[in-house]
Amino acid sequence: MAAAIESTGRSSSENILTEVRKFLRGASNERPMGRESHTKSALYLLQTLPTARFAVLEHLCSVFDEAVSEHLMQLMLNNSENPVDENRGHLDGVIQDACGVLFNFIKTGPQAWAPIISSWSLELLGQISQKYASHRVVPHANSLNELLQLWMTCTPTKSLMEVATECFAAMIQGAPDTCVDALLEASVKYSPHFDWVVAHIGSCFPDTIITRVLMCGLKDFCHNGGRSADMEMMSEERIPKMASVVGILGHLASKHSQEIRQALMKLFEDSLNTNSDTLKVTTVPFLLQLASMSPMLLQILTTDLIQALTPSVLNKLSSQFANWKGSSSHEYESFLTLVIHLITMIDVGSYQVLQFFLNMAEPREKPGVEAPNTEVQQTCAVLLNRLVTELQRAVFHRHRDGKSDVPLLASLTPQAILITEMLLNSQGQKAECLVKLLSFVGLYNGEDCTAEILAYIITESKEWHQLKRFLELQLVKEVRLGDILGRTTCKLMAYLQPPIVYCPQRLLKNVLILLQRESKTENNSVIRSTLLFYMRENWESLIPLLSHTDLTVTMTTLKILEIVCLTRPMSSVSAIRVSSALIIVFFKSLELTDPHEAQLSVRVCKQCLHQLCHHSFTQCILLRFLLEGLTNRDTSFLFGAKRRTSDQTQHRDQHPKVSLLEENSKLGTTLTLPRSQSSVFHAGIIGSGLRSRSSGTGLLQEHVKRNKRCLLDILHTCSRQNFHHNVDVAMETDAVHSVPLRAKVRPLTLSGDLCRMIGSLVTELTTPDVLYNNRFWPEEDSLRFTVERDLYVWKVFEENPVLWDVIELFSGNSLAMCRCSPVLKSLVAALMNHFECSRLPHANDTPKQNESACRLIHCLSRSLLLPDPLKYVSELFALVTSYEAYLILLAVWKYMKENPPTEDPEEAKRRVCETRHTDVVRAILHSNIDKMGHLFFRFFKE
Amino acid sequence: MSKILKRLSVLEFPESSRIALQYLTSCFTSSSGGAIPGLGGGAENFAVEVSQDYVLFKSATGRTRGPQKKLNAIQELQLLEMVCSCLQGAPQSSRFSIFSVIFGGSIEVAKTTLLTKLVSMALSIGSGAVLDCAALWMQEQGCHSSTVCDLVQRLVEDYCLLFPEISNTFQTLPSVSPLFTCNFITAVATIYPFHEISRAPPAILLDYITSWVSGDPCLCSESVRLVRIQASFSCPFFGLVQWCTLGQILCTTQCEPDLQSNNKLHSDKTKTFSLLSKLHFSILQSFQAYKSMELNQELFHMSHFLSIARELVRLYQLNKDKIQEEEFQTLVDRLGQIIQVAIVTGGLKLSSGKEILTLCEILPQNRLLQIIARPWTTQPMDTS
Repeated sequence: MAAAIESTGRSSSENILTEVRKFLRGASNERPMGRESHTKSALYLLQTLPTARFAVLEHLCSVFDEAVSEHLMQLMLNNSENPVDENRGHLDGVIQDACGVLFNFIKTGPQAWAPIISSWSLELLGQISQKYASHRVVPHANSLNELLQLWMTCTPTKSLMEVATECFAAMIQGAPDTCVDALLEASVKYSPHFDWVVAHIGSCFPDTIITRVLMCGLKDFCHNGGRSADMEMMSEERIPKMASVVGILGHLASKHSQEIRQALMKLFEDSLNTNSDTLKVTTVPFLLQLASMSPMLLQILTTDLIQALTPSVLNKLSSQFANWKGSSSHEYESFLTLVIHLITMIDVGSYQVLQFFLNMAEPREKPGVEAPNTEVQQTCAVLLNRLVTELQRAVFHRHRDGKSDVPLLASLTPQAILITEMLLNSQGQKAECLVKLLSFVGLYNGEDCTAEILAYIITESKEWHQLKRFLELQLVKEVRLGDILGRTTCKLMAYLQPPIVYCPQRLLKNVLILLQRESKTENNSVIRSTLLFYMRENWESLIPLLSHTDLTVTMTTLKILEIVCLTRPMSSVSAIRVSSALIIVFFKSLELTDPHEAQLSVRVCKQCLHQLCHHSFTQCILLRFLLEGLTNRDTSFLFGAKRRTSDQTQHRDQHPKVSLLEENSKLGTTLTLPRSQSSVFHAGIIGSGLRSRSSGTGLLQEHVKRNKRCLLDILHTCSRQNFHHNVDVAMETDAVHSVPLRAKVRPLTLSGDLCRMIGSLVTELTTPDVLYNNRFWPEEDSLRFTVERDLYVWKVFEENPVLWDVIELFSGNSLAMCRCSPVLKSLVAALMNHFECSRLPHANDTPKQNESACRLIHCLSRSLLLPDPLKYVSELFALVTSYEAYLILLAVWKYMKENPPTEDPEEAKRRVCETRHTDVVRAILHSNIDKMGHLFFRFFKE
Repeated sequence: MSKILKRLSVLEFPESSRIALQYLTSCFTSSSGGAIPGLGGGAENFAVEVSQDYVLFKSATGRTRGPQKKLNAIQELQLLEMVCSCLQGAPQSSRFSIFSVIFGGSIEVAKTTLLTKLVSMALSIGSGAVLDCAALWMQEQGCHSSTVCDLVQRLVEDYCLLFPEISNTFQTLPSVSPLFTCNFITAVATIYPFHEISRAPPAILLDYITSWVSGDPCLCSESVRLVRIQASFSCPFFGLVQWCTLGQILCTTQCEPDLQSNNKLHSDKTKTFSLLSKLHFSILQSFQAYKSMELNQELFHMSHFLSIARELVRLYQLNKDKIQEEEFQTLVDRLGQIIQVAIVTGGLKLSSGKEILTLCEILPQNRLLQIIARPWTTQPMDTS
């Protein structure tokens, strides 16, 4: 037989006939015949007898099939039990021979042979893949890569694949349609087991396969879809081929997505320029149909197609569709439905798609750029509306339907903020649509996303119509997410925590506007949760903002706090924080030079302070902070204290360092001095020369006065005892500036604790140490021991004149004054010292001391510490000499020494002045009767 | 139901067909021998049924029993082999009867497909018996009919396109079955009229046909021989004349030989020219042989030549720049020679001089044509 094969070229007819019979004998199994010789005779026939080719190819099918089955069997046995299989090797040889013959055919007559062999090999591959799909060794059809690996390591299938590839290579130039059609048909027939073949061939000829597959799909689509009226029926018919198109593209997508992209776009562009009516109408539905079947293609379409759809293209499309729309509205309707469905399925580039539709529905007029026509606009608007409806259904029925995924909404989540921004910048139809869309995005993603959206609106709104969106959104979202406002508030508060990224002013202002609105329209018909409620829970987060550098921020915060109302119980920590912050704000607002502005700020501060003072604990803290602020160097200048510059220290620093050694070495050279210890050695420089004059306060007198007024007002507000919680604050504010400073006589009703605190605090602030800080006034002789201390206290008062006002403010309260006793006595002592030593004839000549004495006496008398005649002595100071003033003060001292300040007001009331205490006064009146005659009766009524 | 059908109905494929063929053979051999005249019709009746069911495997209408399956390719090959052997083994007188009981009658796709395969196989294995039967069948159907053309087309595909190099048997075809060869050439000339380049015969086929015709001058007249049995006949002369005239001018004017990838082999122009020239000479020889056979049938009408002449001029006008005057004159000469020889050998009979004069008007001035036309243009001759 070998000889027969060799003589193929000149085979005689008899040889062929013999060989045919031999082959048939082998096939009929009458006489067992080796696979090898059987196949050899088959191959011989293949080369010599044209008619036999079908039979031989069929025979080869069984050979390949057997080889595959053996291969799989061996894989299953893992090659261990059956290491040498002679049969297998010989089958491999047979297969090689067969492939060799086939290759030869393809080479010599590609046009004639390639279609035959390619369809045969594809068919066989399909059969084999399907047959062995359920084999134990063969992986599931879904795991394409494993499948590919298995089959490509299996010799028979590998050789077959090579044959098929060779055929394709031969045909791809001449008749690509034929081979792709065959491939598609096989794919349809044997799907999904055939996918690996498609994948392999596709990756060998990506460009052609992709383009051709698409063309075939489109052709099929046109063919089936052109006439059929019912879309549903059509899709049923189309599905097999479409599915295999999608499947093939899916396989190729991983490596050749760029080519697919180009091919799809090419198809689209062609449809715009084609002359065929069918193609014009069917290409876009075809593309969409494809997209609906594969997320990957959808992705490509959304990214590229959307970019390609410029207004001019859309106009063209709409004119192309006009006929179709008119003739088969039902089909057009289902086309739109498909579009909607696809949009909801988009997961990449969704934002761009959304933007696209919005822009097309309401295009902005731009000169020189073509705008979409009304038809396109309407269609886009309709699509948007339906999309919104669809999304609504999806969101609200999500759990009921069991369909949990709406990729569009999921993919829009990262862009939620961008959409919100778009919403803020849009109006009318677009805004309505966006509001709905945003609410669905929010609802779909839960509270977090929703809160973010709402928070963003509050952060970024500049006008009321923008802020109104917040309310609209809230209304929709609360249907599903009850606690959404709470989350939003938390989020907002989180934004406000340092480090602050946003401009807090706008945010706060918006919050304030909302709060004000809520408080105004309390009996609103729409039931919604209020921001006020949540702000009450979160107000503490606003405290850091009080120390914001921008005063407007602070003011807005204060207004918010005011509406939130600080009267409710709060923790001590926050109380202290808010108190200190408030006091700082107060001082800061006093710094303002513009009276109106300052007034407004102070008013707001006052209202808050007033609310805070509902807690006695905070009241104490507030007062303490306020009073401390008076003597604090940073704030005291506001009330007329001289700003003690650090000149002195600076001066000292500027003083050149003097080296003692150098000075001493110079010493002997200059002057001859008597030799003493001090003259021998230079002991350095003592002091730093003249003290530089301290500079002025820098604040205008007017300003200082105003500040004092404000301070006293605030102190008054803070120290009031609040019995009623609903005090009308407005009345107080009205009174702030209308009441002159001097006329501040409204009696203060202070709680005992507060009085003690205030008294102690003043003492603490103005005295250098606690020594002698008892309420008893010592012997007048002992005054000389406390001169320094007395002068210190005096100096404190001189530097901070506002302290006088403070003392005066609280002077009506004997309890506070009693606690202040050490201060009072030091002041009196200092004045006594002054007047005793004064060389000026009249007390009036030192007006400061004179006035101080007057105010002091006034204080003492108001607090009932000084009884009847003595309390009028202040009126004398203007008329007496300095020494007489000393004498008067001495008389007062003596009285106070005998009647020390008491905390019991009843006891103070019972006290009367004895004659010995008034002797000096009487004597002075007598001696100056010419000047003081008119006053005598006031002192002595007898 | 007859005995034979009952017997066959219980048998499986290879066996059933074998018995069926045996039965068919016996039917016709016995009936030609000495069958009782009254029973002959019945036997034949069964023969048709048997061939329908067990050779063609086509179930008759209303039949529920019996084999209805379609054969696979290997079984089909086996069947073909059996049919071949059967025909070869049958006595010559009954061969065509058996053949026509199987393949005769109405045209059916399955039938012609099987026949095509059978003929193709017979070509390969050189079975003259089968080819002769086929040739008769072709004659019956008419060599220009689409059925025959389809069959021939398949054969050309098999032996000239798919397996161009194994056509050893093809080469010796005239010796195996001259009649088949003759009819084959006629059908080929119908398929490939060569009046445009896309309808040119494959080069290899041209080669074969040239060698066949030149090898046996009587070949072209084989079908004419049958005129005694059959009223109508067809012969390849006209087609071949077309080839060597129109084909020549087409190949000359065809600048791009690769324009039609099908005819890449035509790139070798000189070879084609020499083949056509040889063919031309062979045709002339065949006319001679035809005369010697004394069949006295008219092979042509003048209108044939007129149509060729018109086409020739049209092509010439179309490609005037590509073809030279002398070359064209040679072609006209060629045509003239054929006409002259045809007239002389009796293949073409001129009733009046009108037609030949028309021919002269169509074609440019040519000396040979003038000579041919001279008998009918005596008047002008006289004046000159």
